Amino acid sequence: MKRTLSLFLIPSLAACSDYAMREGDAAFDTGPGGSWDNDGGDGASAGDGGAGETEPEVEDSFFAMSPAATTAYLFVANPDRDTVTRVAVPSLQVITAEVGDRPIAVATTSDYRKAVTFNEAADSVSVIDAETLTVHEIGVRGNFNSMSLSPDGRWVICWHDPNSDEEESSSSGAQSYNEISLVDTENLTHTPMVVGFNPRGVQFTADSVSAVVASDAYVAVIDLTAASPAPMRIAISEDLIDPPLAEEVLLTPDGRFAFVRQFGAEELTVIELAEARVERVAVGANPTDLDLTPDGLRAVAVARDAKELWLYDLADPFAEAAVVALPPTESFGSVVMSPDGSRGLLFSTATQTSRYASWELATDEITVRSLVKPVRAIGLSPTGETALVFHPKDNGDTPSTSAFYNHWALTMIDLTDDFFANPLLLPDEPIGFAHSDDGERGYFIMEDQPWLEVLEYQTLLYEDIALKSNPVHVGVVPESTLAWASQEHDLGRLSFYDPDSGDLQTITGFELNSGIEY
Amino acid sequence: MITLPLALVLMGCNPWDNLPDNGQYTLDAPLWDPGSAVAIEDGIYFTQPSNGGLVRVRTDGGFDGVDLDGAEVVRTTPTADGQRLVVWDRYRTCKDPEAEKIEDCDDDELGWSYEVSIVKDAAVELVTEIPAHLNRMVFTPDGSIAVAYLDYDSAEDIPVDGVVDLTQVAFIDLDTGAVASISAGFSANNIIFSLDGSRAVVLSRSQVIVVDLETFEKTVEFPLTLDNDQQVDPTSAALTPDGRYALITVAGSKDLYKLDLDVKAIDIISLDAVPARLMVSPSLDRTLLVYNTEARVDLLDHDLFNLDPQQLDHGVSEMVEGESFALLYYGGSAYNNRMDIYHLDYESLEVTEYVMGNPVESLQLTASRAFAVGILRPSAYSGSGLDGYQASRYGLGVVDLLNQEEVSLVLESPPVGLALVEDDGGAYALVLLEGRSDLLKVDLRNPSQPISLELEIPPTGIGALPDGRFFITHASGLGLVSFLDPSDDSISVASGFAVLGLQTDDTLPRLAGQE
Repeated sequence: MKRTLSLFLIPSLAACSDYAMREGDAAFDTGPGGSWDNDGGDGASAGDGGAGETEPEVEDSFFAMSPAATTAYLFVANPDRDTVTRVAVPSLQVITAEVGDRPIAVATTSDYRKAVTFNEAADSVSVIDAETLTVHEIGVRGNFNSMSLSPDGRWVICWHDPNSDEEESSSSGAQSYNEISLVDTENLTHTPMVVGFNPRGVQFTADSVSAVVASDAYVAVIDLTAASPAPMRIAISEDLIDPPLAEEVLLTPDGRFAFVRQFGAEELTVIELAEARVERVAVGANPTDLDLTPDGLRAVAVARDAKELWLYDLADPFAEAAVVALPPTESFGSVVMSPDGSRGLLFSTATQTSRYASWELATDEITVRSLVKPVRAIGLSPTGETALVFHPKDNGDTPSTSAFYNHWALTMIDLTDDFFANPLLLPDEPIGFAHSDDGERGYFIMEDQPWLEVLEYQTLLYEDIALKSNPVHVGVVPESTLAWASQEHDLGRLSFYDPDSGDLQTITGFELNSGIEY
Repeated sequence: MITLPLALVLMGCNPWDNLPDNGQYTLDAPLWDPGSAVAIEDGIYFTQPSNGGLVRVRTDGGFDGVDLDGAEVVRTTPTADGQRLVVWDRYRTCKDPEAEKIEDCDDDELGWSYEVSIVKDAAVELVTEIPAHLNRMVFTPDGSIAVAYLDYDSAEDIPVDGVVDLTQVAFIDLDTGAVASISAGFSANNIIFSLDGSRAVVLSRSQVIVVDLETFEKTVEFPLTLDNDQQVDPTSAALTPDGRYALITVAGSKDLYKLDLDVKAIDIISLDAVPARLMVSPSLDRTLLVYNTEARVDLLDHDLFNLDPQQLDHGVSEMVEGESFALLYYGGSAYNNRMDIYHLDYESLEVTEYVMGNPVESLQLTASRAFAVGILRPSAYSGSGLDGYQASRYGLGVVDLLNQEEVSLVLESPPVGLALVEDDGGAYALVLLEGRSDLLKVDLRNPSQPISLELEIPPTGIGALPDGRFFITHASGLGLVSFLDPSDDSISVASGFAVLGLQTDDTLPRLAGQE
């Protein structure tokens, strides 16, 4: 059964503080040294449990049209106008720059000096100086719909994501689904290359020295320090006829190893990238999640059917893994780690059970607790003191007498106060979530609900902030407490919320700026 | 049609020697138009529809004709400083250079030429040419520059000579006569100026342009929509006191456009309803927005541009500003029986409600801002008894803003004119009523006992003169104006001025090639 992605929170990777929760997007962890997780395959190939237990765990989502923020600016791509709008924070001054045809994605570099758009119809990338708005456009290969940016902002990889909702402009001539385009945004050069069928995700090492592109049957490693970067393709399966497809790829922070989790496999494929050495290490039955500990020293795999956690020492990933037994009566398939690495939260998005468990890494103690509804996603605040549990509308084991029956819900859990919880009934589906870097507040938006919801992590209280129209994306300006929400409006609308003053400022119609002549 | 027997000649000499038909002359139009009165510093100017002339009546009772070099007046307007009169005029031309009279010219060669004359002291100071269809003017605050535009709603007809550019506006330097025409967009009929007079903002359908008033060049063009099929028609606009932002309301929309003229950016502020009126208050440094359909006034600050609503009992559509307050009232449909005047205090932001006897049609403030005087119109809901009596008649509303008291007087007949006067001795309203030959002087401190000032001929209108006196026009075919000195209620008269320039012939005023 093909299942689309619905929700993801990546609390431990705070480099990007806004996330989307839309159905049908490809799953992709944007942080360096993180993981790429494809759940779009056939879950029936994994596991031997009941119907629910054959479902893949649902993890993160990535969306293209979210604005991109720096500490001083918010960049909004306007695909219909072929422009990018820069909104200064906090003055909210708006300036628009022309880029290539149909910019469907915009990203900012970690040093906040540049913004980059991928212009789908023009088959190009525009590199924009954040201060001067000087634009350089570089052509790329056709037939792409996604863009990934290296941590240092120098490298862009454009690729075709088969799970993307983004519709591509019509093209003529031959098409390939094996290619990517590598763009050097400093020297403004373009290097096309073939990496393998169906590129599923792109990872950069934290130092931006290497890039890894995982496709159905290959991992392509690109040395970005080479004078002429070229892919080193490594086959990840010995089965040449019907290889298991990669479900998740995890790159270690130092870029030495890539872990590949495949459908139906009971082993993980570990690749030592420099040597192109491919080995397999044991993992329990039906591994459904693979993550790094926040210190980057260990990888954690959740074997749902085996009811085990497998921990791999990344200094020697081929060494025997440590195994932690999970409660035999529970089925947990996903894990999120607290930022300090002292605790993990275990849950399942597939089994429709209203429970989660805390895992204390120091003692390996596992404690199971109940929830008002099954889990759609769990995230942790940047301080790790508060957990957010998003619940689906589907009821699972929720009794029909529950106030939450047939409703979306959200639970805030204070992890510092005996896991005290405040469940909230929601009028509609959450579609976006962000939290401030200081860990004081979280923000989320819901489908067709003109509210910015503010969560106070210290008190577990919430506040409704009325918006002028329905929100589309939500985020927090980096290194500040200022939250933003883009909203539905023909000519563009952004609101900025200052939680300290309670002021909400809205700018509307900024796409008109593309038509100003002077 | 007016027939003048020669026996009515008022002049010492006989200027009618050229009249045909044994001394009987039939006029197709009145000798003067009392409604055309324009008072500037040197007198009151009236147009003369019968001969296209222009006459100035001085306050000492004398009068002068204005020589327009054979042209006839189309319309007039005072300059912003009240020093000069702008005259749109036209004259006959013939393409045949040999033709000296109109009768010598073939019909297909006969035409009109249009010009604008600047008049002061009954003489033409400056003549300039602008496109004939530009029928309205606005002036910079210092009165040195005029912008002529087409107001289609008030255009009797649009003179077309070959082609007409309906996107055109003309900037005129009133000191030199230099003209610069700019394409400002379709139906460009709303022009506002920055307080420092450095730039003009011209609003047209779906776009706004900014013009540098030093160079008369377009510096920025703002779109109000990116959809070519959509029409966005501005209805009102104002600049913030610092001149940086233009705030624009558009027809049928809850959107308030905020144009940053410095950074060149557009923001749209979403209102809860379609605003009826927008007014920028320099003293409050906020913009006031009122609504027909919402019982509140919104105060829009000029920093974060947030709306601060102040509740009212019902929607209003009009605003009048004093130095530290605004008066709000509903001037729309009589079927909305809204009789309140709201006083919004700028310091406390408190709203005081005054309930008048009938709906307010118009409202004026005295010079000291101590009194507000309004014309009250009959209510659509007349009721019965004494309420019905009052509701079915026009009235005069007086609000004492210092003592927070209001009085509603019932008028015998519809008012035809209202003027306010205030000096050390008191504050008065001068009211002309239809069908009455006297002028009512209402002491605003004691409005219930008006004084009647007798006039010999029924009045048709009243207006203020720059020197503090008032002029009253009368229904007299040959021209009659009374001057009222409110300090002693003395009245002087000027008459007979309408016959000036009555003699006409069909000589072409300017021969071909000499225009």
